[in-house]
Amino acid sequence: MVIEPDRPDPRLAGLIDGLVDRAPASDLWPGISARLTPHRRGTVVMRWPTALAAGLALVTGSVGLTLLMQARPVASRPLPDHPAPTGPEAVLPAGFVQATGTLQRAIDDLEQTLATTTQALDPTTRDRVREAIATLDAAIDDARQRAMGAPTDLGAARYLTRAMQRKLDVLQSVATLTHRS
Amino acid sequence: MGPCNPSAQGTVQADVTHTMTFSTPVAGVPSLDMETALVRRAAAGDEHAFEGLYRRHVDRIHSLVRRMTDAVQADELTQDVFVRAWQKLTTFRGESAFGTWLHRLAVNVVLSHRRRDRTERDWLLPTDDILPSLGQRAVHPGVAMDLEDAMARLPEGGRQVFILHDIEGWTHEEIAEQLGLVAGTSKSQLSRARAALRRMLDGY
Repeated sequence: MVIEPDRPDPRLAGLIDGLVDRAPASDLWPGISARLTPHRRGTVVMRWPTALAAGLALVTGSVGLTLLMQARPVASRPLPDHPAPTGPEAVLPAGFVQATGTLQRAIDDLEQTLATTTQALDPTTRDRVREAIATLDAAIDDARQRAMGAPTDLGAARYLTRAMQRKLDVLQSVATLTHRS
Repeated sequence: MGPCNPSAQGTVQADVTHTMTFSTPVAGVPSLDMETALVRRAAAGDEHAFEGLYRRHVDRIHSLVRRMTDAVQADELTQDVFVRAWQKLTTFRGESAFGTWLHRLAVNVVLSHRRRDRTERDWLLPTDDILPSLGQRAVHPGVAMDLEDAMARLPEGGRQVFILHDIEGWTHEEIAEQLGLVAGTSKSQLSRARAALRRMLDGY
């Protein structure tokens, strides 16, 4: 039985030591900064009489506001079409628009190339590829609609980029298959 | 190094707009003291201090995340790591170095993302199995590649074990706990990953 040594062999170890950490292509800080929630900001320290007064003012204000709201007719209250997003969902990650644009260009290029080369595949594989692409197109349409309906929804943005990435992966795989055929 | 290194005047540049002054001589001020100060300020809600920590660690974290996932997802996940770090800073007790804590957090964020991603993929692409080369870039026999490229081609499990063990210095027990394996599986994954890397590095 061969026991794997805890350290890699000298050649691999040398390559690992030579790995260089690279900075991201764009500064990610603005996107991070925009997602830092305010509850983490500095703590206000108050003496107890001040705290008591502030507490009473808060309670009084809340009660007053509630009474005021109840006094208004329900019909006159404006109802927003979409609730304003708060928290981490409010800002999309840096480079999202650029990433989807790049993915779409890559997809378009590959689809153009594959339009003529998929004939090299056998009919069964070609049909199954077509089905896979159709499934992905439906998923991308669904994701795009979701993302357009909620332009600041981080989850929708992620879903769209993942769906597009999957399609690109499939197209690249098909391109490899047709190249081999 | 990042922008937080001590300067010759005993003042360190925390970020573009903020400076911090130390009363001790520069020669005796290890970079860690600077980091501890930034962590304390950030934990108290100082975003500028947190930006200082981001600038010091972003290259390493981004590289770790990129190696464990891919270039497409690395930016987004790196942002997630730092947002999560901000949210959890009050739980950081200083028992380990901040960098070590941040690395653990990054690995957690990546792994939970991968778990979520797999679930989504199962729903999204039930036809994955028809394309065995899905997501694989073409390999050109006889052409050696660099380690970054070779790692990117490893199967996910082997890649994660290799990165955590051989690059990040985790033990098999730690990896096993994190990935939900037994240590023996981690060892065999590592063995296979190293063998695959050697072959790819040699161009076979």
